[in-house]
Amino acid sequence: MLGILVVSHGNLAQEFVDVASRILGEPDGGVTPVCIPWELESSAAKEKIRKALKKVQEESEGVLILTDLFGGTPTNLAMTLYQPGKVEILTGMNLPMLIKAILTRKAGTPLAEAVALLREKGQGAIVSVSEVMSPEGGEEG
Amino acid sequence: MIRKEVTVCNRLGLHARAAAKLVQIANQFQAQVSLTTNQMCADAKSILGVLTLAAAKDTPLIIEVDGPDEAEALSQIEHLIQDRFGEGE
Repeated sequence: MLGILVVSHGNLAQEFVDVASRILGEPDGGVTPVCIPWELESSAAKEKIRKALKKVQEESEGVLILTDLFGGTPTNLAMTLYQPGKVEILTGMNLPMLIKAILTRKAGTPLAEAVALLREKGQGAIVSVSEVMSPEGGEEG
Repeated sequence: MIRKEVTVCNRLGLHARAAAKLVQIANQFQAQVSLTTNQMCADAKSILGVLTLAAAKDTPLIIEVDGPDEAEALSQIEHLIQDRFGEGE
């Protein structure tokens, strides 16, 4: 089963994981938030991510790292730990993506398949309300 | 295949936690389950799909169930919705 690391600026990762757990009804031990405080020096931040990754790797088959913002420090640091096929990274996470990631993990989906699926679902879950509310209606998500 | 129309009767409608409960129940069955409003249709086993229905209170919802355990699946889903997802209001 794959492991999930959620890496973000500030406390966002913890909040994302807490909210997803609340919605799904229970916490998932295979999902680990890694919050990077604003004041944390980058080598210490990288070490924090590396340690969390190591722990998750010991308990998982493949690790998916979800990060908040492509080009931001948390993502840039996570990218230094990228291992094709073993540690994959998806940036620009959103709550639907994280919820789907947790369900995908529970379903035992392999890493490569999960990355493609979550990218598609995360993007597809961005909805313009004006399109949904138009007389033509929306499409199935 | 069996179908039944129910009305979303809890105050908050088919919101995230309610959708999660419904999807959890739907996934316990082999049968395929779909939910249809007057605007769209969603797979009841997909939480993101169910959330796209944006079904507020008083929305009529058609539950369609197809499979060997369809009767029990329909019964449990119908009960969950009529029980206001256990929310009490």
